[in-house]
Formats: sequence, structure tokens, C-alpha cells
Amino acid sequence: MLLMIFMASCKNEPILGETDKYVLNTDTSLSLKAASINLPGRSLAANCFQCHGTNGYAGELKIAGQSASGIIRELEGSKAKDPRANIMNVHARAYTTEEIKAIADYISKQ
Amino acid sequence: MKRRNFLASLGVTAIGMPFLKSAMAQQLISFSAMGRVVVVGGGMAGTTAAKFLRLWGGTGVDVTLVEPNSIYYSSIFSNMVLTGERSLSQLAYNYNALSSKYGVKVQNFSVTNIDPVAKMVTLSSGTKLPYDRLILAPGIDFEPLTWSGGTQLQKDKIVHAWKAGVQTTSLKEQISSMTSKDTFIITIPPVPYRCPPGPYERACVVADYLKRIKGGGKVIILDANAGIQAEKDNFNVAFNVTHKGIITYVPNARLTSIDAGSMTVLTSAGSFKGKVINAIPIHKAGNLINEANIGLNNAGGGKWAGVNVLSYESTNPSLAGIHIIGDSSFTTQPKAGHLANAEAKICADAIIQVLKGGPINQTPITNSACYTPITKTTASWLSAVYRYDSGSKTMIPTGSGVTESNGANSHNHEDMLKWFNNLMSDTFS
Repeated sequence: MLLMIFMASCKNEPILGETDKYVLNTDTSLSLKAASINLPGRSLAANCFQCHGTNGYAGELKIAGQSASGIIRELEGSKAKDPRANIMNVHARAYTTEEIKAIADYISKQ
Repeated sequence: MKRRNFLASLGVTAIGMPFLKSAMAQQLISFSAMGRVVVVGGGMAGTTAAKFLRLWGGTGVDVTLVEPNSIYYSSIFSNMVLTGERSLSQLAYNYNALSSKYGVKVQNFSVTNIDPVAKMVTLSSGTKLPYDRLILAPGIDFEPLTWSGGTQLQKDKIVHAWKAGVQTTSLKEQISSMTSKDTFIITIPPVPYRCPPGPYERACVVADYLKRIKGGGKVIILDANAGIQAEKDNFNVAFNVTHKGIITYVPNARLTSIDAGSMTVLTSAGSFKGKVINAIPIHKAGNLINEANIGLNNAGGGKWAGVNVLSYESTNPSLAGIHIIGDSSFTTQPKAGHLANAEAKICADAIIQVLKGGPINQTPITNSACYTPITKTTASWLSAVYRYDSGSKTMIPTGSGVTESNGANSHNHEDMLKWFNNLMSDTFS
């Protein structure tokens, strides 16, 4: 099956487009359709998923789709606060401004 | 992934396919990861890895999860089963979403052999699974206890309940048979052990239960370590204020032996008698790590698996392609479910990159968060973010370091329930 698709894609340019179609068409899971999206912040944002749900989609504490600027403002603002007072202050302090931007960009696009 | 390997994963060779141009293969490879990954162990680490390999790697990554049990009982929250605040069935999770939503193949068998040269895993069913990458996540196992007395029946009553399941039920029944005049003893092994705050948490919720339901009782904590291993401030308050008069904390109490007849625990800090003895034995990596007999157990006194924390691949050079995540691995990070979930994602990401022929992330960051019930209505928490240090090649706490909450309260207790549901969902759903 894979081989046939592969051969077909070799005969029909562009390869990438055909492959893309194959991956999306044969996949019944909505989740898996996002498999190819690898924004730079994905690995960092994955540290949010445990408490805020996969890709930020939690029943409670959902953050998916929040604006990047809002996430950045919240996390940057948390850096100066007492870490023992709120668990998010601990997490905010751990990331550089650049990393927070990458996380915010990823979460805002979910 | 090299073109040669890519073709091998398709089950073909370049010979006989003259039209297959290298450039074409390269383009296709750069788009999607291709390869076979076998994940052994369906706990917090293994399940997360299997899910994210498919979520991030796409349909080109063939993922098989090997786990003998069809139901996973969460050890997280299992202390609340002991007090009747939760039932064991409320902590039951299965692999249905893994297969239906993510297309992970689930094999409910155990592993009988790993061949790191042929890159082949053999299951108890006789099935042989070839792999490009193998992830092992067998959790923990225990050293045997030393006995100084008691019949087999009496010894069988002394359980660890440190993996949720039948022992949790046994310990719950023993605790519920206690009266206000009885003593519950918990022994804590030397580090490293699973869930650093866990034994202290158990002492707290059992003390709370005895106070609330039985009108009193005693809890003795016999800690082999020199002091409280996690959330020191919060547990000091819990032992000396919240549960004052019930909990006695004894550090440097290394377990020597147990007389299950007289229900006496002998330690380096003296002997203690109790109605219920909850002995948590010395830990070691899940049996597969030690029994596979291929050199996985190359760290922590030969009881744990040494790993490169950029990818969690074994540090044993003859075991290339084998990754160990979760509690079996020997790292600077705590052995705990939340952290196992984080390790699994780093490992999955690294494997996908390798299968795509790309570079692996050289600056991984993981995190741990752990909420701890102190009473039926209050909780505290412990959290840390770990950043890769290229000098020591280890994960080091960053930012505010390993941080505990400013006390225990009801707000944290509410957050704890959300944390648990979302963590389990991120792992199993």
C-alpha cells in the first residue's frame, strides 16, 4: 500500500503535494491530520499539555486558541511573582522570553 | 533516516527500482517520518510516547504498544483509594483511544526476548516484532523484603501498594479495620524511589482518615533517608501541626527486617510495632531492564537504565536504537508520572527527528508538577522545570528550581483534580 503510493508519487510531481494528500486522506483522525505541523514551539508547548490538555485542549484550564500576546503578557508578568504562591509562576520563570514567544505562538494557533 | 533504511522500512530494496531517484526519496523523507517503533509498557511514559509518536510523527510511523494488561490503574491518586475518597475503578484507564484515535497497534502480551542486533522483540504470544526504534517503559520493581518471622499468610498481608492494583485494595481493607488505638506504619526506602512526596502524602491522608473516621490512631513514618525527600516545608507543617499527635516521623530508619507474626518492624532507628505495616521495598528498574540481559541496567548500581537525556537512548553503545523512559531510567529527574509523560514527549520527538533524518533537539526542557493531598479538602504542590545542561549532560532544575507551594489549601485541592484529569487525558486520550 505504502509502496504503491510512493511509486505513484514518484511519477506525479510534485512529490510533496501527493504525499501530503496521501497522509491526510487515509487518516480518519482529526488529531493525526495535524501531525505534519511542527512549529518551533511544539516541544516547549508540550510542557503545557499535562495540565492544559493536548495542544491546549482541556475540559478545564483550556488555553488553545488564546492570543499569543495574551499568553506572553501573562507568562512574562508571572516571572516577577512569588513562585510559591502560584504554580504558573514556577513555570513562567523557567523559560526565556524567546521560548515564551515560541510557546505562545504554538498555543495560539491550535 | 537514511535512504537505505527508508527503503528497508517499506520492505523493498533499491535494486529493481531503478526509477526511484534519490532526490525523490529525499523529498519524501523530509516531509514525513517513516519507521517502526515498538513501545513496551503502557504506563504514563509508554502510553504518552505511543500517542505522541503518532500525533507528531504521522501515519508513516508504525507504532505498536506492548502491554500485558488491558487496564491501567493509576498510581497517582491511589492514596485516596486507601481512604475511600476514590475507588480503584475510578482510576482505571484503557488503550482504546490510543488505537482508535491514533492508530497505535496494541499487543496485550509481555516481552520474552529483545534482540538488539536483529532489532527484534519477541512476545509471549510468539509474535516477533521488528523495530527501527524500541522504547522501554517498564516502570519499577522491588527488592525482596527481609523477614524475621511470621507465616506466609501473615507475610502476605504486608504490602507496598506502590503500584495501584490488588495491593491497593488489600491495604485499604487493612486500614479500614483499624481502630483509634491502632498504629499504621509506613516504611520509606532509600532514594531513588517512585514519587518522592508519595509516602509522606500517604501518611497524611491515612492520618486524616483515622482522625475523621476512627476518631484517632497513630501513623509512624520510618524513613530510610536522612530527612523528608520532597516538599519539606509543607510536610513539616503537616506532621507537626495539621496531623500533630497522630504522625510520628522517624528519619534514618533503614529497614532491617519485618516480623509479620508480631507485626514488628526492625530498623536502624529501633523496632516499631503496628496493626498495619505498609512496607515500601527498595526499588529497582522494571524487571525487563534487568532480566533482558542485554546490558540495559548500566546505571545506579546496576539496577537502572542509563540514558542520554536528549533522546533517552541507552548509554550502552551496543544498544543503539533502544530508548528507556519513565521510572526505569536513571536521570536527575524525579521518578513520577507527570515527569514520565514529559520524558516520553522528548523521546518521541527525538525518534521522529531521527526517522526523518533531521537533527534532534539539543535543548530539551521537561517539567514536573505534583499535587499532594494533605487532608480530604486541602492539598499542596511541588513543581520543577528541568533544562538540559550540555556541560553535565543532565537535566537541571531551572528558574525557581524545585519549588513547593506556600502551604496546603482548598484551592490547591480543586486544582489537583483538574491536574489529574488533564494529565491522564494527555496520556490516555
